[in-house]
Formats: sequence, C-alpha cells, structure tokens
Amino acid sequence: MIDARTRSPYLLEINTSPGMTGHSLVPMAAKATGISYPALCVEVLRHATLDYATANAGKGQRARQRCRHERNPATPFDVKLMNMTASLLFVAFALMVVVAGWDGPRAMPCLPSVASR
Amino acid sequence: MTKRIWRAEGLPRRRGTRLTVRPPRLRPLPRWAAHDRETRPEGSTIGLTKVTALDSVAGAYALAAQHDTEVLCEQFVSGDEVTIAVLGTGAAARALPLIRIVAPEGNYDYQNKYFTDTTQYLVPAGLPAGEEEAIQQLVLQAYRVLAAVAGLAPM
Repeated sequence: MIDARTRSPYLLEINTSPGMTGHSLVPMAAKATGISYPALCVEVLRHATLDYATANAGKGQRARQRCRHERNPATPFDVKLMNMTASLLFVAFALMVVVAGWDGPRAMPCLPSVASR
Repeated sequence: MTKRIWRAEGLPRRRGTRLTVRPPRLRPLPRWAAHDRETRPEGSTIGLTKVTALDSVAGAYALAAQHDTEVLCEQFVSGDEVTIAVLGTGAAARALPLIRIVAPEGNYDYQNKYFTDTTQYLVPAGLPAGEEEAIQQLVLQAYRVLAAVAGLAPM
C-alpha cells in the first residue's frame, strides 16, 4: 500500500505461490516487460532447486538422503541387475494373476512348490 | 511471521497485532489503533472487516475467528495498492513492473479479488516519477530477507 497522504510504501505480504492463470498478475507483469508466458514458466523452473540440496548439502541425515540421487547419479550395475530381476518377477506374477486369477500359481503345474499343494 | 521478520529488519509494514484464541481486550488501545484498522484471519481477505468504530471490533473479531485461530488487527492504510512480482534468487533477483490494483471503492476484498471483473489492474502503474523504482528496491530487500531466513538463497 502507498499511503495517499505521505506517499510512504507499506509492505503487506509475500505470496510464494502466486496465481499463474490467464488472469493472474505475475504473467501480466511479465508480459508488460516482454516475457511471454512460456518464457516465464521456463524462468521460474530454471531457479527451482530441491529444498535441501543447495543450502544444506552434506549437512545432516535428511540433506544426505535428499541429495543422494544427485551425488551418486550412476547406479552400480549389480544393483541395476537386481532391480531388473525384481521387476521382471513382479511383472511375471502380475501377468499370472491377470491370466489365471489369484489361483494362478496353483493352476500352473510348471511351478512345482506351489502347484503340488 | 513474515511481518515479524520485516519488523526486525526495519522494513516498513503496517502497525498491527495478532489476537490469539481469546476474544481481545481492546482497552487500553495503542495509539495507532485510534485510527481506522482492519481485522482478518492471517493471510486472507476472507473474514476481513474494515473497522471504523470501536464498538464494531468485537463483531469483526468474531467473524475473522471463524476462519482461523489467529486474527490480525492492523492499521488501515488508505492509498494506492500495488503488487510486484520478483523473478530469480539471491543477487540475481529482479522485480517486474508494478501493477496498480484499482478495486471498486477501494475495496479489494475476496469478492472483488476473485469473482467480479470490475477491479482494474494497471500496468504501467502510472505512479509519480521515481516511486516505482523505489518500491521495486524495497520489495527486493523484503524478498531477500525472507529468502535468507528460509535458507533458500544467500543474501
């Protein structure tokens, strides 16, 4: 607010997630200075960071957990293999369920331990 | 919280107080409250009342308290309302042009904010020379202070 009498400005509040719709004010202000809506979105995204990645990198358990992916982007091959095997097993089981219902394992004699009961 | 940080930094914001849980005892009143003031739930235009007479304070409080346990009672400032967008972080943060909000009869409430289309948004804001730049600098300062407290960016 700008006091009409004294012309002194007063801060009212800060909005950390302002509207980004067709009639919102941030896109309107951006447009007035020649920034298109798509360019504005890119500009906002360019400054996006993980909450703890920059400020607290290397400090504390929580920061470590949040940053783990960034610090070790390359997953070792054996972990990948394990993940892949687990995924395949899950998909195979899901397929059996879909094809033969919950009795799938029992209905398939190729699975000895389950089928023999 | 925002207002407390700004106050600590000596940034200009309206005089005000939080009224919590119990209905307020409003006597004796601080000197600024002798003028018009408004009560509202924190951070909202819902439940906001412009209070111009002492005997309507209790009703205004009751309305605001329906929406939140914390009620703000703040000095009423009559004048131009502007909004300023800030892009970027830290030293690279920059303020976009001011938008002046002209609501019907100066009443930028919940209804005029979201449902009517009689509120005008003026850009360029058409303020006296130098005022826009001064306000942009003030806003950047207020923004950096909060960002630093939140641990988001170096000041």
